[in-house]
Order: sequence, then C-alpha cells, then structure tokens
Amino acid sequence: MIDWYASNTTLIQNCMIAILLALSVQVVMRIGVLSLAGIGFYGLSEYLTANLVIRDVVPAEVAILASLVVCGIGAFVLSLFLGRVRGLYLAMVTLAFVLILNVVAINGGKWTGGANGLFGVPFAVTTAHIVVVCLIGILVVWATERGAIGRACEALRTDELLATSMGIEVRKYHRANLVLSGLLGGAAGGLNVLNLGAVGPFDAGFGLAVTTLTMVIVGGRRSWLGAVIGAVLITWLPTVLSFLEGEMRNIASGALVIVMATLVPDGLLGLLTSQIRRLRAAVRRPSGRSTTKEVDDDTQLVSADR
Amino acid sequence: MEQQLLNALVLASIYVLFSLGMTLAWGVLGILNLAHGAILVGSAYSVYLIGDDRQMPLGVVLALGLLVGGGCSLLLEIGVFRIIRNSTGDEEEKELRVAIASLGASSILVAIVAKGTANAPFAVPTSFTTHVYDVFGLRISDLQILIIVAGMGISLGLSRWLKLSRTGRAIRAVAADPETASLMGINERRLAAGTMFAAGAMAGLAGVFLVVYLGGADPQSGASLLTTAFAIIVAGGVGSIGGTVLGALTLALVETLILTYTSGSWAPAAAFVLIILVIVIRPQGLFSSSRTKVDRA
Repeated sequence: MIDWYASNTTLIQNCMIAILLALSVQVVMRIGVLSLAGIGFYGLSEYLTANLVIRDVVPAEVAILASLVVCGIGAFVLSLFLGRVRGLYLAMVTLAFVLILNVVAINGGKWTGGANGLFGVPFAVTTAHIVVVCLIGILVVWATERGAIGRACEALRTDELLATSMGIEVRKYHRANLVLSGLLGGAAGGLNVLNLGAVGPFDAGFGLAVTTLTMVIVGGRRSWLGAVIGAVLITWLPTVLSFLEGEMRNIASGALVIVMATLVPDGLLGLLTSQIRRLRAAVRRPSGRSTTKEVDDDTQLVSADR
Repeated sequence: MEQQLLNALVLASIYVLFSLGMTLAWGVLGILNLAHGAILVGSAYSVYLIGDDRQMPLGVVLALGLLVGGGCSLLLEIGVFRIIRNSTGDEEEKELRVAIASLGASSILVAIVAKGTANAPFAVPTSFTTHVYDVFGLRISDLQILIIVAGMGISLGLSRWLKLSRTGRAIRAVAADPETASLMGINERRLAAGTMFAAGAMAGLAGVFLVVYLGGADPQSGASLLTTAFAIIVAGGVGSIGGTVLGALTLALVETLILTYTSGSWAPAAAFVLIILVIVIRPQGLFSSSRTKVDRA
C-alpha cells in the first residue's frame, strides 16, 4: 500500500486537482448550465498565486486564500453580466472569457512571463493539503446537492420556467452556483501551480476545457460523484492504457465523448444507478409463479428499503 | 491603407464561407457544430494527402475540399446528430448534447491531422500560381479576386435561393417550426442531411482557399477559427446571411487594424470581446432588428 502510494503520488495529486476542476463544471451543470468559467478562474488563480508567492508578498496559504477571494468576486461579477444568458450562448461567452485570459497571459509582460509563462514557483503544498482541499470541495458540492437546495437545483435543471413558478429564485441559484464554480476552479488552480511550480499561458485554455468537459460527461453530470468518477478515470486511464500514445489518446477520448453524448447522456454514474434500479426491481418482482411466502418477502424488502 | 482594406476584404470572404455553414446549421436545425473548424482543417489536409505531391489545378483542389468537407459533415449528421435529435424532445438538452458530441468529433479530426503532420504546418499541392495585377497602385492577385467573388457570390446566391426556391422555402419552414413543416410533407431528415452537407462543403472550400492563400496551415488552427465564426454569427444574428457578411467584414477589419497598429498578439482577442459584448448587451445580434432563426434576406 505504501509502495503503491509512493510510486503514484503525482498521479494522486493530479487526480485530486482534476476532481476540483471537474466539480467546478459539474456544479453549474446541475442547474442545467454549461459554463466553462471555472477553467478561466483556474488559470487566473494560477497566475495570481504564482505572482504573490514568487514576489514574496505573502506566504503560500495566504496567497491561495487571496486568489480564492479574487476568483469568488470575479465569478460574482461575471454572474451579474450573465443574468439572462442561457444555453449555448452562455457556454460560448464563458469559453470566450477563458480564451481572452489566454491572450492576456501572452501579452502580460513580466506579470505573466509572456509565452514562456512563470516558473520557479516554490513547491508549497503537500499531498495532504491537496487531499484536504479536495475533500472540502466534494463536501460542499455534496451538501448543496441534498435537501431543499438540491431539489431546487434539480427543478431548475429540468425546467427553469416551472421552477420560477414554484417560487425558486432563479437568479440567486445561478449566482451561487457560478460563484461556487469559480471558487472550485480557483482552488484547483492555486493548488496546481504550488504543486507543479510553473504555469504557462495555454495551461488553462481550450484543451483543458475539453478535457474537463470530457470528465464530467463520461462520469455523469447529474451528481458530484459523476464528476469524481470522470476525473479519476480520465486522469488515471492514460497510465493504464499506455499503448495509446500522444494523439491516439485524443482520438480515443474524442470517440468516448461522442459515444457518451449520443448514447449515455447521464454518464457512467447514470448507467450504474439505472442498472442498480433495474436490479432492485427484478429482486422485488421475481419472475415465475409467486407464492404468498415470496410476496411476504417482497414487502419486507420494500419496507427495509425505506 | 487601401492595401490593408483589401486584405481585410479577402479575410472577410474566407470568414464568410466558413461561418455561413455554421449559422445555417444552427439557425435551421439547432445544431451548433463545434467540429466545423476541424472539418475545415481536415478537408484541407485530406486534399494534401490525396494530392500527394501531384500538382493539381486549383479547380480540382477546390472541388476535392468541397466534397471531403461536405462528406465529413454529412457523416456527423447521420452518425451522431440525428441519433441525438431522435432520442430526446427537450430542445436545450438536444443542443447541449449535439455541441458536446461535436466537440468530441473535433478532437478526433484534429488529432488525426496532428498525427499525420507531426503538428507541423502543411500546404495544399496545386499547380496554380498567382498573378498580381496593379490597379491604380493597389496590388491585387487573381486568387484574392477569386476568394472575394466566391465568398460574396455564394452568400448572395444562398440568400436568394433560400428566399425564392421551393427547397429554400422548405428550409425556412423547418427553421420556423419543424413539427408543422413535417406535417406539410417536408422531409426533414433529407433536408437536414442536405443542409449539413452544404455547411461542411463550404467549410471545406474555405479551408482549401485559406491554405492556398496563406501557403500553409497549422493543424490546431481550427479552434481559433471556430471562435471567430461564433463571434461573427452572434454579431450578425443566428441564421442571418446578411448579418454574417456584415459581421465578417467588421471582424476582419478590426483584426487587420489591430495587426497593423499594435505590436502584441492581441488580434485574437477581438473575436472574444465581440462575443461577450454582443451576447451580454445585444443578444439578438448587432445587425438584426429581432431575433430571427431564419434569414429574411
């Protein structure tokens, strides 16, 4: 176990950061919004944290917290602008936001290091830090997926108009989820730059957006668990399938996205839950002749379920 | 200055060819094909492969690009988009899944080209050599004239055809209300396939023009073209052909000016800023009075 841990530390760290990033996309998708702004805040936080730490302004922990505050405020401001924007328009506006940050990063002079990016950032985080932040992220998303808040999100995803008529404040939920997305992306970015020690202008660009989206689509967009499954799978799979080299990997993941979007829209998690449900139903209604004994068992099973 | 305006006009014509297909697919069928940029690069690359150092005449090269582009797009429509359209009734869900699936298709196409070229720029082999004419001090090549004529001619022809022909009317009917259109005996499936083929064909044509004009293309250039086209489409109003032409002219002009007068690489930002400005401030597009799905020409 310890051997396995030691030889896979980097992979574990990358997985945890990928989970945070995937959550930042999933958390808006649960209200039916495709926003890639989380990727932009990931990049923003990378550069911000790197600058604060390299220039010795504040210690690493404070730098990450400061970046988080900036990302939170930034996401809030963005959400004000996005007011009534929905659907593909919102997706493309947020993509434009990500790509603008790329252009700014290239032209940012000494603050961004231009095309070379910034390097020599002190390695200030340990695996334990990353795990803790990742767990906090999961906890927050999990907690807001349950109870009244979770049901409101579910209603918004299914039908915004209907949700409004039921008294759900659409704006409030939109803002809250976009801000949460920004915070999750920001946390992932801050951790990543302190973990890798370098950041380049295209790190948080079109490619990362596609990869993150792939994670959420493959894992399942309805729940935090889907994002976690997808992030772990997409980060881990290439090391298992090492025969897929370079571009072959992109071809495989592209094909996977097409298959999922076409045939399995709710991702692996959706597939799993529907299978479990079907299995349970099969147990409840055993085929063939049914005796009173079996019916008794059946009712017992149902009540035990509840 | 005049020379810059001419360059902007040529760039705008290529943008128009590329954006027309995207705006048509989105306006008529609700398909935002994010693989459109990859289709452009992919068809230019296929022509490069088919050409195999044989110097083919420009007409053949253009026809090949057109066919490959249309074929790719048609394949996506039949193999992916149609299945998604049939599997759900929810419009938003449909659009979202189509966009995501096309993103996957885009990565596949780009990866194939990147693998084939080892991520280096490639050219289209053609026996065509440009002649430069001097018109009142303005240097203009026959290729530039051809691109402008093709871009503006096709958009004019398309808008006339949509307005006047029987099929054009059917397409506009599908855009307005697919269900009623199918009740009126319009075969939506065939129309969708035709629209997607035409869209891809125009992207293929734009791809070959672009590569011949610039002398080479980068395998990754599809993504930036995609955002450029998106900016043009939303600025012009989705489905509007006239708006697309105006949007392309505006953006090409702004980009050319930025390239001429600034030293940094800020030109790509023009498209992104345009997207945000238009969608946040004037979501119906800059040039349309109301939100139209179909061009009123």
